[in-house]
Amino acid sequence: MNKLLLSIIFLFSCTSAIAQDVAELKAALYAVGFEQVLIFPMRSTSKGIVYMTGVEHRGINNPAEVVRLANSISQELGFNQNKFVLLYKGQALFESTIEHQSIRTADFSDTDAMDLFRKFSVSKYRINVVIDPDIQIRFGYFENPIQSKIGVLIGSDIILARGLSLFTGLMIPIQNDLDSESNQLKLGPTFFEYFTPLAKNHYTQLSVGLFHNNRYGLDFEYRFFPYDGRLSLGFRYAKTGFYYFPDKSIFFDSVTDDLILGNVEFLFPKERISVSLDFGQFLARDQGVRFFFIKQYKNIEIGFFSSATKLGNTSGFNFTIPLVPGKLIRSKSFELRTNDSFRWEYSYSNEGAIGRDFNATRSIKNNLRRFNSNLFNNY
Amino acid sequence: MRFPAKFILISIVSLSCFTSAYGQINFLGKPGLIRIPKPSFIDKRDNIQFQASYLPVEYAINNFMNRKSNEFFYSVQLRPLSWVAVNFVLTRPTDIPRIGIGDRHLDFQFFILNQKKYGINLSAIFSPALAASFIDHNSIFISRIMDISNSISIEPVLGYGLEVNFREPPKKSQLDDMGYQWIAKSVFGNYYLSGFFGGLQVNLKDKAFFSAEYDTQYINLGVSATIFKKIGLQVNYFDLKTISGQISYKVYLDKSLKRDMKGYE
Repeated sequence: MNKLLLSIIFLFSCTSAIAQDVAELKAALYAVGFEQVLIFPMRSTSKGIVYMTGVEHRGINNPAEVVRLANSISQELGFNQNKFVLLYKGQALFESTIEHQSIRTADFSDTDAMDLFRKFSVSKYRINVVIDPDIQIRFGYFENPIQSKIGVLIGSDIILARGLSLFTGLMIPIQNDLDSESNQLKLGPTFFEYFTPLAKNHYTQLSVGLFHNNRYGLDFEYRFFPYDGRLSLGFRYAKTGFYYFPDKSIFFDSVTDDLILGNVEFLFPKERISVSLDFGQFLARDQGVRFFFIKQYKNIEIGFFSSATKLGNTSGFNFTIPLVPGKLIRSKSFELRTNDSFRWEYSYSNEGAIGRDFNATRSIKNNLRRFNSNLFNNY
Repeated sequence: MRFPAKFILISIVSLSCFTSAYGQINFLGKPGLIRIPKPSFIDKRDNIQFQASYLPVEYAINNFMNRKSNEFFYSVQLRPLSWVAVNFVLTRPTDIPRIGIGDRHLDFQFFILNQKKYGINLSAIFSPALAASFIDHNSIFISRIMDISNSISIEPVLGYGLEVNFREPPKKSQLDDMGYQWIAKSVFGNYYLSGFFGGLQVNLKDKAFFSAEYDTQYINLGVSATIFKKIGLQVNYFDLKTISGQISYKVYLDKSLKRDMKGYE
């Protein structure tokens, strides 16, 4: 009887010690900006317990770094065999482990998926407020060579459920000699966005609301994206109209503009270069093709493009960079930071809307690209 | 002009004694001497480089509306693949009203042969014909780096730039054929890298660079140093008559830019 009691006490103290360690790991991961940290034991080995850890980090735009950071912190706390599942808006993508400094990826099992599903909770996200400059410039008019519209968007992606978020914000205009929009404080882009995998490698996203680039309406995107493959394919359909804020009011044009685009993209992992072709109907019923050449660096993406459409031809470049200083305030439930994926595009031609789309920073085409695991060990 | 020139030269040379340099770039932001390019890499690490350089009016290149002026060149250079670099240049003449934003120029430099494998460095520059053509240049050039001692190496560069461009003729020329064709660059007032050019660069411990060159028009000298591993300073002596300078800034892209990653890379 005594023996039984003793062993029960022993077992209890062991599990509480483990629970203590797990809590410590969780706290350490939250402290460096992780969210939705979901830890559960998978199996016991001679070296200790293998934990599955679901992680999401909205302040680091490179998933390979997210895995490396999570792994380093786990190792520091004595968790030597953790597996990490990368989450995107709470939706599990795939599993990663680090062996001898290199990241190996694999599919997670159905039971892992169930565990991640059960442990998910909206309260495990911080309120994430992002400072994002909005800079539109038109170069080249003789009378006023640099016409610009500059504002600062204070925005937040509020996660409402797994995969579902409401983005909203406040636009603080700074100066505008580009168009007739008023220089008053106004509502920033505000839209619901639902991202979900349909099946393995198949993803969709549906958004409704007032988008970036003064478009409002509905936006649907589907993408076939094998995370360890090289080829990915996509389709996007959007029905939108134009909106803007003249003095003290809001103006909506009718929702009649159809954007119908197919996309084929191929990755050269060693060079970290993607070649991407959009074809179909862009905004303003402009039909044609747009070819992209995109190079990935650790936290920066640089793209060169050429478009040939009914409205004309143009070339240009774009880049996505993290803005300094990054994190400004971080507490348990709140974070204020500058945009970690600020995107800006320059087009040689400033005549007409050649091959334009909208809300590009939110498209899964652009956001899943970095999750290709072939890139992970090549930075 | 004499005193500040000397002062700048001396301060750069003395700065270079305790800083490290990754090499010299020409006024367009390419690996090079002063106005001519060179075919060897500067830096093997992934980086993006921004540069501002100044050309005095006597050596100005842009002749917008048939007028010349002191010019600033702003350039961005990136090498997305080991064998090609993309260079984007914005030209802004000062003192000329109604210039718009300035002329934009894009070119590609292809690194075809390297010395390690082939004994010489060989490189070619291709400028696609865009609207403005003042610095369009299509050229091919070679070099070989030779060690003189443990701390000094020299790199002679020799090259040829096409004197013609394949493009549409000027609108006012009223030719029968207004389509794409080979046209002498001088028709557009472009004399940059037309013909044979060459130069010699002396590399002192990878810390200071001294260059002398013939750029098809003038003989120029230059000296450069890099400070804090990122900022490049260069002083040029055009035609052995006028002093000018350039400054560049490099951002390395192979390191994490995220503060949360500090200590965990």
